[in-house]
Amino acid sequence: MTRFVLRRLGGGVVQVVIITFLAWMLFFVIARYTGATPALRAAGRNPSPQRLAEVSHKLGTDRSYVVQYARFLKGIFVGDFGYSFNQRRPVSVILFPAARATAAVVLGGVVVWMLVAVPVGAYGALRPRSVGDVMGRTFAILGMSIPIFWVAPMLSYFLAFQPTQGVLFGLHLLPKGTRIFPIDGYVRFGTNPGQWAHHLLLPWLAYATTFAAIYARYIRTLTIEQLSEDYVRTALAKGMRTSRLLIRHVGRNVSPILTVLLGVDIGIALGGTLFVETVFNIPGLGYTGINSIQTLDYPLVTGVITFAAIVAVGANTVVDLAHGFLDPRVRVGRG
Amino acid sequence: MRNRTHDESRSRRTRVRRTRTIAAALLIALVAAACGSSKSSTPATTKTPGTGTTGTTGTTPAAGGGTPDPNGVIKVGMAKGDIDSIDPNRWYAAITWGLANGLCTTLLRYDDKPGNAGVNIVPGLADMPTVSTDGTEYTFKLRAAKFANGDPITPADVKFTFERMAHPDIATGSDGYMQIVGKDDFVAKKATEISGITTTADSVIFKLAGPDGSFPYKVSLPTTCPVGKDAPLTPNTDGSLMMKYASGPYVIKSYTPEESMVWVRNPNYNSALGDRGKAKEIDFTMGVDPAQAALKIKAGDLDLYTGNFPAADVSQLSKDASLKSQVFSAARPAILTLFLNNTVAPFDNVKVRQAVNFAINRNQIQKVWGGPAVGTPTDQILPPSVPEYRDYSAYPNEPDLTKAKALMAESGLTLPVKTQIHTRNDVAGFTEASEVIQANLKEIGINVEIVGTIGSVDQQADSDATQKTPMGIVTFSMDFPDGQAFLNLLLDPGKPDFGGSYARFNDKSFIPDYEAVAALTGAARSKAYLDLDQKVMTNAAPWAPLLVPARFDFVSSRLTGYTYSQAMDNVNYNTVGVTG
Repeated sequence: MTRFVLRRLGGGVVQVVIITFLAWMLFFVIARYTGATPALRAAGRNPSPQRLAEVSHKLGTDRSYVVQYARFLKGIFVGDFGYSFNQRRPVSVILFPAARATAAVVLGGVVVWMLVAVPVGAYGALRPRSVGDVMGRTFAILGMSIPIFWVAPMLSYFLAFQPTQGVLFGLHLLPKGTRIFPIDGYVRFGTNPGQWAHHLLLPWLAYATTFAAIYARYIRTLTIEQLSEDYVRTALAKGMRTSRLLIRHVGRNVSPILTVLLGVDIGIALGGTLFVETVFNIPGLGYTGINSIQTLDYPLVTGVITFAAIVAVGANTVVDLAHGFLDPRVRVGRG
Repeated sequence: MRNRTHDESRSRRTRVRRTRTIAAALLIALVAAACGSSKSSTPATTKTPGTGTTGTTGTTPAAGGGTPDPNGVIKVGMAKGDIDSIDPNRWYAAITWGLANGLCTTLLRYDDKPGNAGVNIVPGLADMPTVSTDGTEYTFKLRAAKFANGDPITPADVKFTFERMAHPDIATGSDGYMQIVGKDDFVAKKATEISGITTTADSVIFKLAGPDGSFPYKVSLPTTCPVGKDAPLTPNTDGSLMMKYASGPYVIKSYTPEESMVWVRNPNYNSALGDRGKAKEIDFTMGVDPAQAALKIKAGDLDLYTGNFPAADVSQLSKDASLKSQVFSAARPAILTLFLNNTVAPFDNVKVRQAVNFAINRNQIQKVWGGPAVGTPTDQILPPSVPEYRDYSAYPNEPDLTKAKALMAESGLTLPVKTQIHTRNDVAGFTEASEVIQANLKEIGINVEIVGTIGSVDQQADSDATQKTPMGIVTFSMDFPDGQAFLNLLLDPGKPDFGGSYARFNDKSFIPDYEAVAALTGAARSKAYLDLDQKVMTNAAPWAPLLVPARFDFVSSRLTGYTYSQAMDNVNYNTVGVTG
């Protein structure tokens, strides 16, 4: 088991080093193709050559690439992602609150999508081709087909804006000025936990739609597979209740696969936060990343990429470890 | 088991029927909502208060008509990245200059009146200056004023402010305008102060390197916002300088970058400096997506939005008669122009540049840009916001292909020729305008490839003379309403490699004209700059000006006193309030 854990952690570190190298390379690739060197971006408007040289020296971009990369790596390990050219403050000061906001969206979204996907998928598996199953699968196909950048503004429009005009789904059912959900905005958890959740409900729904649909299908398929196994028939023949069978046996066999999928999908889903954060005005990593790309704020661009990569690799490593704990065959086979 | 299944099946059918009914109702409701949302009743009724589309003085644009509630709270939405800097000696974007207008009182300032009257200079911290006979020495006598922290604003503070602005680590964009004796030595760290700024007990005296008729505008720039002598010589990022040293009617109470900002009334503002500020508090929410802004204003979540509304919203809001009193459009002190690089073929040939000006369909560009509410065709360098503006019409709004083709024939080039147009592709309108130009120029034998990139990359390429960008579409906004701000900064034949001179205009025969006009003052100066504008465009055509962009605003029904500040290119926070 120890070897297995060490291998996974080692693999994670190697992945992070490779990703940070690529992120650091971006710094120079962008500069090469835009002509906008870091010093030029940081030196203010119409800088003199002397000023440029001074800023370049201050940033360390006049040093060799090896030295620059070493400094970059060292910085990351102590939580120093550099200094934002545009915002004129440490990148870490920008990144950590943004990461908290993104984490709130992602983790809340995961909870919502699992809350929807598990019952829908399990019901479909228990009663295949029933009306409920057909509806569930229809929902899944719709959910997978509708892009998040469409769902998010639609939810905001129909569930947040229209009620303020006294309209619910196009019908004048409500008094004007009704507030069901906020149109956008973000409240920090520490400021007001209730408002935090209230402001995040629509983002969670928007974020969860696609993944809930995908996971409902996964769960349905995996559960149907398990239900056809001999141990299920034996358990039922011995009089075990369906609910107990599902939770104690089927669920236990399905969960390791779902855990692995979740690890992968959380990494993918980080990309989806961009749209949700933009529409709902949540100052998270996606929002920050897009802003930094538009303003060619190199340290912030690399900081966001590196940070997101570390999170994705971290999530996968944790999932691998969890998979190892849940399924002994994994650690025996690989460890 | 069977019975249960039978019962379940029956109840399931019932549920299914109910679900189907609900689903059908929802579907109908969705369709109705979609139809309802796209319902736009009457033809365009957009008001053009302020300067209107021709630059003439308009009527007072006041939203609503109620009296502002002195305890009212104005809610303002900002797009992401709207605040380029919160340091009062660094801010440079129109949005932050709008903020500066409410937070600062500069030596002189712009009148809070709407329209062209809003570019008139009035006393600010100081009375109108006395000027030496040779035009090189300006003396400003300060009036009684305090910072928000209660400290009096002294001549020494003003001198320090100008030195801070010139300091390389502050790297302000507007310091280059200040031709003050001793400034270069200070910037080069050969001197510890700017020797050309001296103080007495109640006055500040500026000694200039030469006569400069636009100096009153320069001491009205928002970047000259006064700060106390202990302000650090590093860019301020947490808003603390404007919490301590605000000198306008408002002061920053709290600021979280890219999230929120709250202003309250400045308790130490001397109303003798001007009757400014109509609300108790202004709350700014940052990062509001443009697509959500109009909805939030309609829902009552916002009173104003500082970003640009999407073209679809502009069109819809302009046409909705019920929102007539909440919609405003005013010509900006800016130009959307096609610069033609005078050092790169085929635009190194003046006949080609003139032909381009005759071939472009400016009316079509106005359409793809978003219509009359967001821009008016122009063929001039200076926008209507400059004093003594006149329309001289050197080139048509509709293409004159006969003249254009004749000029191409005179150019001596073998047609067709190939070139590129560089444009930003992260803001609607630029690529579409490029496509119009591409089609127009094909008619006269110029085959154009469109190169689109994000704004920051595009600007970088355009400003770098070594990249030899052949032509590109850009918007330039005036830092102050004087011809110098455009002609000398963007089209100075003596400085073709200067960063802002994207056209690399280098016809030395114009230099005497530039020198002559720079020495003038007052109305004669303004008229002379218009004459120079006409001469440059008619004889050299370094640009093909396209539109005078307009600022489109949609405000809440409770907002009063809306004024668009021509000088700040933004809403005037000194005049707006909300009804109770």
